[in-house]
Amino acid sequence: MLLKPRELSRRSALGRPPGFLLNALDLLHSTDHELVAFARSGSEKAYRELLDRYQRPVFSLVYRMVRDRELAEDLAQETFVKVFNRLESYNPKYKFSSWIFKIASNLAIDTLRKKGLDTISLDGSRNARTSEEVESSRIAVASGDESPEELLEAKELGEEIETAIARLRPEYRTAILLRHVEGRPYEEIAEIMEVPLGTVKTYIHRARGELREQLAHLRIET
Amino acid sequence: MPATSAHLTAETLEQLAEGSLPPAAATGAHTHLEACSCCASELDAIQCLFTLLGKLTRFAPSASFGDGVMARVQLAQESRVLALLRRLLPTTRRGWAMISVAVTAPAMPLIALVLWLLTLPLISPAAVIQWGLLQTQSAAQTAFAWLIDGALGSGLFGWAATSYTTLQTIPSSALGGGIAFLAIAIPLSGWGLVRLTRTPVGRVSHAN
Repeated sequence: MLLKPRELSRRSALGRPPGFLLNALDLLHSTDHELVAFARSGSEKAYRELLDRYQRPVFSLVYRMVRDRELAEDLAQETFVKVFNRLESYNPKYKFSSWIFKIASNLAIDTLRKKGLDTISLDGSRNARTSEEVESSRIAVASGDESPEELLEAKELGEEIETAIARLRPEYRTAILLRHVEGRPYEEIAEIMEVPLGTVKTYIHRARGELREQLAHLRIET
Repeated sequence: MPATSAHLTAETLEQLAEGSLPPAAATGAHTHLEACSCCASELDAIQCLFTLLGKLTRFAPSASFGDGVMARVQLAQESRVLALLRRLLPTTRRGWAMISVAVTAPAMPLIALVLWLLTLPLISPAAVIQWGLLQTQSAAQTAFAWLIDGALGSGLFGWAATSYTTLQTIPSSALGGGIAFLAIAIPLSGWGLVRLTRTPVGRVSHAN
């Protein structure tokens, strides 16, 4: 985000303000790179702001990968802890978002491989033993603001889409979620997934093809 | 592009649906789509898929998520003094007991002496308090006298008289201007300080 000229001149004249002088405006108007610099200088507020910016995107990506709320929270927390404890090694040449998504998706894919969860349960955690645990580990798809009919319809539609995405290979799933939920450009997705740009395009193209097949019956209804 | 001989590729249709096809190619593709119902139908399907995927929202983690993360994070560059104190402070009850003994042991003889004095018949608590008050009063008088002597010796009063005479020579308009400047500058600088040190209030999430 661009800073106002007055703000820029203040910063250029005084250098970076120390952590205790940072106010809400500084943090909200700061870029990710600036926040990382503030955090490196020991500002807890900067850590909190980075957490606020990325907790939902990271958690959503991981949750849709592993489809288990408890596991997803653990993995998302692990992602932030790794990122925050390694801020000194962060290279500002790359986007902060690419770095954090890379760690999150690697953790999620590693977990899926370790646990052999490629063919994951669509109706809740495998580890759930009681009906309450199953229900709490299912992906909730409605926002809660709809009428009962709309709620049911939205829930069914959401479940159909989530189910179709869950059936994709983990690599396809990561690519399609980063593209369509996070709106990341192909180049950044390639950076996050550490694969060539052409491979990302192939992943997304094939994922779209599979989704179209699985969701073909929804076409007339929508 | 002939409408029937060469259909648009899936990549072209996806780029068209995303709006990332270069303008010239997009114009050609639209011309083709007008004449080719097959490609138009394919584009519809892709756009429909994009609409469905657009319905996906982000999920929120539990309310304790952030605190859970921060509890496990080693904040960068912790103050050296704090870090040293953290290392020095005991972590067990035994450690605290040892620290307490180490701090109070040197004072024990003094405390014992005071207690012994208080047991003597001539030294009552009231007499000790009265003696302390007299000593304090005497010390205050000595300090006040020393300050007055020092002020007279350093020529402070002479300096004040000179300053007053100098101020009288300054034109009243310049003096008024100076006072007005200070009256504006002081509150402004105070406001600036308050703004700089203000604590952030509320949180604006960038997610969703």
